Amino acid sequence: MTKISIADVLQAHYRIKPFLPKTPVLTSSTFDAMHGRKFYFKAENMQKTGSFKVRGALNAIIKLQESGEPVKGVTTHSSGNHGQALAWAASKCGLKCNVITPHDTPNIKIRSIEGYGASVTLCEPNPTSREETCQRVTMETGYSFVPSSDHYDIMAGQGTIALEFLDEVPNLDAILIPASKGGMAAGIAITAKSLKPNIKIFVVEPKGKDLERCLIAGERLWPNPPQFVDTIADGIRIQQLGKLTWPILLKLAEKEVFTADNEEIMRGMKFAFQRMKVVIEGASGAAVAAAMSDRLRKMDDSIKNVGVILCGGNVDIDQLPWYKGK
Amino acid sequence: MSKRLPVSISDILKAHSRVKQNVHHTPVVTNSTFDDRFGRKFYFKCENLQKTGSFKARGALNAVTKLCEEDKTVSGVVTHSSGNHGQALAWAAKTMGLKCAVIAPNNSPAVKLEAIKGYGADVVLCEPTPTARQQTCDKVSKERGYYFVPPYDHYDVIAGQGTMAVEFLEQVPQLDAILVPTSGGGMVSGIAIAGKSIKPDLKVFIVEPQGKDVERCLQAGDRLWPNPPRFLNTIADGIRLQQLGHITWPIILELVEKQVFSVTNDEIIEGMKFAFERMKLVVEAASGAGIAAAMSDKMCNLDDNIKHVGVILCGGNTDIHHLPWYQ
Repeated sequence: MTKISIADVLQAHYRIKPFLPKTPVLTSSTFDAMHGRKFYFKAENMQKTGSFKVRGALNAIIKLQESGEPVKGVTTHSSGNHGQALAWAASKCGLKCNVITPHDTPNIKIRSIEGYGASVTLCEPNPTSREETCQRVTMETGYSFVPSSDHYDIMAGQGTIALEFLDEVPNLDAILIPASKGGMAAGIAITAKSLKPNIKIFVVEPKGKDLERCLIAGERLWPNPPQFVDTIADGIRIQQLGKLTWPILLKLAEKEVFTADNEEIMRGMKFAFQRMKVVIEGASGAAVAAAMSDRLRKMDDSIKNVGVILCGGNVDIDQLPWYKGK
Repeated sequence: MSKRLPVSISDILKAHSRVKQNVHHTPVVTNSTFDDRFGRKFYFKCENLQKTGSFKARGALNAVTKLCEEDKTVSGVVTHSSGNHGQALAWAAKTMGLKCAVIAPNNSPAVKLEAIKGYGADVVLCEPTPTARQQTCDKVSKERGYYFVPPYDHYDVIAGQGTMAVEFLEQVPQLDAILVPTSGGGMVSGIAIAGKSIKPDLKVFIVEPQGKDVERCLQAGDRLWPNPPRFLNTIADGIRLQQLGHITWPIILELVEKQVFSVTNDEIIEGMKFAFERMKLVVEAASGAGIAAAMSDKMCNLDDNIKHVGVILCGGNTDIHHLPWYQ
């Protein structure tokens, strides 16, 4: 029934491998001692362009070029990381690029997008404005639209994270994955469950996404029109899962969802900065917070080896969240 | 290399076998943006990811391990430190089952003092001058019968730090030069001895905060610094000592390049920010100094045959609540 399989992910891996070296897997004996299991942190913050998004972007662009149809350029709408990734991937593949992004996107993300040679079009900070502005620009330029998440080629690209991760740490029992629309979580779920059916896929969300209730009900309970969640993790603000990612996660993800509020996200970020000496953004802080949570602590002892996706490191270091209000 | 040097490559290789099991074989990272901007290939040795968050774990562990080999009655160790060596010694002592006391200046970052206590060591505060550090340290050593492990002026500490170069040259055999942030000079001495034994043409460069004036001293062949020893006014709290050590001095005079990279606070901050923003690494200011040296005009003007440059990211123990670019 699902139109994406492990074969798509393996093909994606073959396409993007020449461009992207493997990202490291980090461990912290301090963290393990504090939280009673073995944790493995996949450092996608150290990926080209500072987040995992480049995997899906590259796979989508290369596949477009393989299709034989003429491609002048690509457009997208993005909170920042996908925009940056697409800009970089487009330049590597000789294409132009236009990125639509909310006007409150951190400056560093906007500068990076332009630094890769792409144009930036600003829109209002809500999902509807993003989509409408993007449709307009796509029509005007004649470029091809590459979405940030809800697309099989994007999911297949993100799934390559799991190929690498399970290659390095074959005995992972569970993976904690931050989710916005769910492209990464879906891609990893398809891949990991194909390679290791007993592995548990746990989604990590910012408070207000309410995903657990939806998964348990088997229904998209979110209000319309689509909203942003109020969270400091600017990369995972979208409340609803995508239309294509939803059935995949409904089938493959655990019903228990890890929820992180702003305090917990900050605590997760601070651990990474202070003890692991790596820079991570809010979404990754949420994943670390999930790893630190009581909920995980109380889980079955058979979950011995836990993977944590440090999905990105594009945080504005001039506006780190623990300085606000000082 | 002079046989008169008190530490040899053989000491460093032995140190490597002693510490290998307990210290991290740290990664080397590269950054294509940096290379494109600055016109050479740079390789960053991530000692910020080392046990205890700085390279100091190597020297401390070698010294403590060797001490236990030679003296079965030793009960504890003591040192004075701006933080990183203290933390490293506390960790090394705990690893080898010894007690530990650390004398630290009373303006040390709180995060460093907490980390030292976290390894079970005792912290004794002193006035923030080199003289007060040494005096308080001597007192505690006598009172408790602890063995003094200095931060740099000790053969076993120097040998331990040298293990970094052994790894680095295995990871990047094509290195032409290494930039080393320097305070007392333990790390640059160890790196120079190991590095130049393995690769005699390797150029080892000191990176200093402005005001240390090492270049003038090296060119004169003379310790020109005023006494008593002072701290420099720099945001890099790990490299505040103005004077090189007495044991490290002759090693440096013989093996290290006479050209010294001198960096200002603003340049240090720019270096730190590059690491945070582009490499996603948390580094402390002393490491920022190393990166700043790599970004400098002086580096740009170096001979073209220096194609592959190593940079030591010596530590990551910075207070993230008081990052220097926030006012």
